Amino acid sequence: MNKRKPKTQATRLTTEEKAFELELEIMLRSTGHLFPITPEQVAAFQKLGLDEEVPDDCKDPLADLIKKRNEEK
Amino acid sequence: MSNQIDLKSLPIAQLFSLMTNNEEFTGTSLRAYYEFQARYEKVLWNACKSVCKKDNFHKIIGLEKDVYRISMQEIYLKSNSFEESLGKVSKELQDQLLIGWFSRIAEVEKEKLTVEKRKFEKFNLVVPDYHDHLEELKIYQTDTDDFLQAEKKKDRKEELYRRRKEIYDKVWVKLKPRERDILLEYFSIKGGRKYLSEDRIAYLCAKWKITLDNLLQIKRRAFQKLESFCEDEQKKTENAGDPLNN
Repeated sequence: MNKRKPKTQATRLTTEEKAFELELEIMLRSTGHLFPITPEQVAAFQKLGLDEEVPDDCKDPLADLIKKRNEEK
Repeated sequence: MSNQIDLKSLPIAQLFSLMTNNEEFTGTSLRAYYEFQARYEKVLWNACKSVCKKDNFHKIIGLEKDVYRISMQEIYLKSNSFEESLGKVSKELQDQLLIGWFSRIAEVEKEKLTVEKRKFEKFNLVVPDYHDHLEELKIYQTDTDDFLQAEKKKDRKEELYRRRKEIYDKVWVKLKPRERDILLEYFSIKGGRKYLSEDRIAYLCAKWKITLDNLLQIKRRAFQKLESFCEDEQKKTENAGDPLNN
């Protein structure tokens, strides 16, 4: 039976790698690959100037919820 | 009388207060919600669309619409958690905090929908309320000075940042889809957590039919590739005589 332990060394990052990792996450969250979380990321995301209108079938997200609640009553 | 209130002139905190302090799904509560929606729907929708469309490895149709709808519902259902907890902050910062909260909800919902639609094991992901969001934000962003001075950025720093972003955009697409997906998973729903949970590792291994060892190697290699791509791009910019690099 193979009792080899999974390697854990690969998860240890150097300081430079950690800094790069942090920068990468900030970039991904600032450019719309991931959702922006911090105020800085939100500000950067807003600067992308994405300006598409909400589609008609998303204009009333609460409608389904209200309908469901009414049915439960 | 609440029905005489001009909602358009109210700050966001009061809208949330009206959502919460009036009977759920009735007059004033709903009116307050729809005013909130009118103010923020565009930016929130565009965040959902961008994130769900880019790197959509599962090719789930309409994911961005579902994520948007459910996240807006969660905002309403969790409206009682909203608080002006940071004292006097600018309207702009308050907006950014609100969008950040929505984003964390949307990130969880996107994951839930993805897992559900791909029929992978479901995880017990907890949708953060506003308070959770702020708490995790403090962990996430440890430098409180930066946090409170979010609006203060120097022109030069901004310009360098913008160029760096362009470089990332350029090199990101050079990675293989599997590498991109693994890196995105690695950063998603991290909150205050530092490492991928066992569930998420199992999920990634199942999705890409790889072992744990492979996963770690792919992740590490992807980082190295990105770093090297970025360095190359940076050198190209410097060689082109960019004054900002001097």
